[in-house]
Amino acid sequence: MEFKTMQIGEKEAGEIISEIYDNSGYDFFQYSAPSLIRRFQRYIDLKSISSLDELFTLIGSEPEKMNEFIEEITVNVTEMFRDPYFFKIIRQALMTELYDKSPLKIWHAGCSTGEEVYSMAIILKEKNLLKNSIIYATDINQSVLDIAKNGAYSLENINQYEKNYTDSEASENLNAYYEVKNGEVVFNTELREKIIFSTHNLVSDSVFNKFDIIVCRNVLIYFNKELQNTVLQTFYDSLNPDGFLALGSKESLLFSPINQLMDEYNGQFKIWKKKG
Amino acid sequence: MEKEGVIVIGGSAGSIEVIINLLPHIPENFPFPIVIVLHRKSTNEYQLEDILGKKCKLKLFEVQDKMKLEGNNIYLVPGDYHLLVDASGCLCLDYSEKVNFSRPSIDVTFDSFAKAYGKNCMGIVLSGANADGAAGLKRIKSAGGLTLVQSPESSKVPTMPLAAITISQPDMVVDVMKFIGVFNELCDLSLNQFRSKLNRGETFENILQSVLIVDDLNDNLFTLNALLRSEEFIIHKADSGRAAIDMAIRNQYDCIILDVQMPEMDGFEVAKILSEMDETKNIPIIFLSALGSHKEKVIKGIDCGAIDFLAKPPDPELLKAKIKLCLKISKKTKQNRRIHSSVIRDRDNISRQNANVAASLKYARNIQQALLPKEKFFNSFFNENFVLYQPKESIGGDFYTIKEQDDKLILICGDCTGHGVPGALMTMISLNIINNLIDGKGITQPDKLLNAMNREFRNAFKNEFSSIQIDDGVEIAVCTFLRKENKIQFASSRRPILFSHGNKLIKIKADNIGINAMMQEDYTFSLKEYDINEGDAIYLFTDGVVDQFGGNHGKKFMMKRLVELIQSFSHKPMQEQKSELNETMQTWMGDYFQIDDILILGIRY
Ligand SMILES: C[S@@+](CC[C@H](N)C(=O)[O-])C[C@H]1O[C@@H](n2cnc3c(N)ncnc32)[C@H](O)[C@@H]1O
Repeated sequence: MEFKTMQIGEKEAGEIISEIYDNSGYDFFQYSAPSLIRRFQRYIDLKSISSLDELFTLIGSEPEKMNEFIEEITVNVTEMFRDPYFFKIIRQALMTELYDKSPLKIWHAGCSTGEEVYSMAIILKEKNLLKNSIIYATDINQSVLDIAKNGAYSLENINQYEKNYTDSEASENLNAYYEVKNGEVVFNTELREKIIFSTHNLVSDSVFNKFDIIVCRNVLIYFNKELQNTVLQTFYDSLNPDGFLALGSKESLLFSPINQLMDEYNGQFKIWKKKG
Repeated sequence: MEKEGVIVIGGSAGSIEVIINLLPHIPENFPFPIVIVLHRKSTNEYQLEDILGKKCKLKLFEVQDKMKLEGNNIYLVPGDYHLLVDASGCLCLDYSEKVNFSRPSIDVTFDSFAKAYGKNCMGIVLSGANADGAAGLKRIKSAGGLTLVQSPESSKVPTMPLAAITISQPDMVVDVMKFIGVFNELCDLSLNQFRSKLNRGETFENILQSVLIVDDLNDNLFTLNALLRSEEFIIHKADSGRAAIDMAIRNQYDCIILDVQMPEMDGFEVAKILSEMDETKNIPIIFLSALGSHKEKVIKGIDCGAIDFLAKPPDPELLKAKIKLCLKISKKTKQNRRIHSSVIRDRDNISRQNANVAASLKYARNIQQALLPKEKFFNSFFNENFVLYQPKESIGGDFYTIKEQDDKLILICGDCTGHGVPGALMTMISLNIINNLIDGKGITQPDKLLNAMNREFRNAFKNEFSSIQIDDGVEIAVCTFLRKENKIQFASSRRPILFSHGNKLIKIKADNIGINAMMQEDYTFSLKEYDINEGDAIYLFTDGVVDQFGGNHGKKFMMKRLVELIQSFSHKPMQEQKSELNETMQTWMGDYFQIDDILILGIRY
């Protein structure tokens, strides 16, 4: 036997998505199919599931199981100071275009376990802007937000983070911002004071505030083009004039109508500015 | 031009060179999009895209999320993202966990393409240092796609190709030089036709035999190409001698059809150069020329290294037949070359293994020697002594030891059958048994020790009876000094002992029976006991000494000579005796090989 478990194709994926929607209300219809297929397949291989019915019985049995399944299929990988050069550019923008905003309002959409938000808080602190900032950090997934709130991470990746941080043209040492407790890296509570963590579903929830910076990196890649455009419109509507929109390094506005309404601020690191 | 299908290439260490060399040669009319997944550091990704982009005639993109596979563009997967695809050819990036320690992972992309494209996908695995790609390639194959792996011999790092070959059993294993042939072939065939060609049992080598036609006139190239097109080989064209040489160095053609009269460099010159270079000297050349009928020209052509000389315009049937002949010859030479290089590889392997064995033997010797007491150690028990120990190989079958129990000192000298590794193993077993008997059971009297040893030995080998030789075993001499009573006791299996007592040299006879698995279980060794005085000396030795060939007539050294020698110097200081013994043995041996381990212990009471 080559494959013991069931093989997921587009058809099966569609059925699973419907089942999730009927069962939990979460709407994955417009997610990018190949990613979902891969995540479904991974889960099914992991649990040695041999039919859709078996899967539905498993995840339908209790809400806990459904949540666990949804958490399994959304990708939460993240890093501190990922793409260090991106953060370098943000530093520059903070000192120029964004310097006078008070309060400076920032939205991290799809913040996952928070590494990206803490990275932002650190550079705000260094530019002495943190106390005047309000950061909204949102994600669809409550359990990653719980981790984000704690600001405690495994020691395993800290060397990579230190290096990223240095490459972002840092002025300090990253270890100025954390302590190691019980084998974990714990970020100073001071960084967290201005961050509001909350669930927000980009698919179904709408504009809830106006922002000077919206950071949404490596989230749109999980959506199909149509959903990307809807969400990009939401971002556009949530930006103050001259506000910044930052996407992941391989994402773009190219296919979106709001492309006309934004100026490219940095092409390589995917930062746009809303026309004033 | 566009056809259904996609080529997905995955590689790691050593694959960038392959790509860099391949891309410039992919023809502009190549009908499929190509996706390239390389393991690389995300930091140098921009350079890579630039380098590759400049190299090729086709358009090269670094993948952005939701780009669509189109035409014959080349798509490079960005660092730190996995690449997935849907059935419409929409490329999706994915930032999830690394797979096989890699992001991008080749397995991930292959899997996704297998699902989305099925049989319309061709997966290629290049050089690399881990097994990423192997499972994915298998997935492509199961989904009906074509699979190709760079031959391990032609890979800078063969781990990845080897894994892919073992796990996926690909349709083709291709020498890196032949890749371009595959891409050329694909220009004219759909993936399906390509597969049927393979399935028709045409070996890949056949399909991809390639012919270079050289002529400065494009019209001639065109006609020739049209003439040969339907044949089962790939045709490359060159419109000058220089171009022909460049291409021949890179592509190892199986035949070159060469025009004679060309500007700059004529065909004769080209043939001469080709026949002088290692890369090209085996390629059969056929001249094709308007001068075909002139006798001197034909001879000159052959002198320059060509196989044949045809007149223009050639008779199509004749030309094809001659090309076939060339392809046959080329196939043979290439096979021979492969065999030759595998012989060289085997030879290298063997010498590497030899070196390994030598190294572990050296290590084993250190262990063995650490188990044998040093000469100095004897000094704490005796006034004077020497140990002359010369194993035949780096480890040996001779051993000795000394043990102290209250007022008794037990001196043991043994010789296991065999030398080298088997001998050394036996010495370990023997020493182990002796230690147990003396330290554990407190047996000190020589005959009792040997009796017990005989039993232990049988036990140790009881289960191994079939696998050891019947008489594999040990010969051993034991003497125990009773220091309080100034007595000495001897017992021995096959090893005579020399006892220099006052001014007499007494030869203590051994029981003529070796300790081995065949010996009767309840054999009792005989015990001899003597008074011993200060100044008396004991000599224990193994048969390596007396059995050694040498002297003027190639005789054994013999017991008699040893007795005489020891008699002659037994009054001298022990260390002097050692040097004399050593010298005598060396002179005796002369040019003869040492036939066994040599061990002599001398002790002055
Ligand atoms: C790969 S992470 C990106 C983390 C971080 N921005 C980075 O680039 O390192 C993607 C995150 O998007 C979240 N996400 C997925 N669908 C979402 C939705 N509909 N609304 C909000 N967040 C979503 C996931 O839970 C996950 O935490």
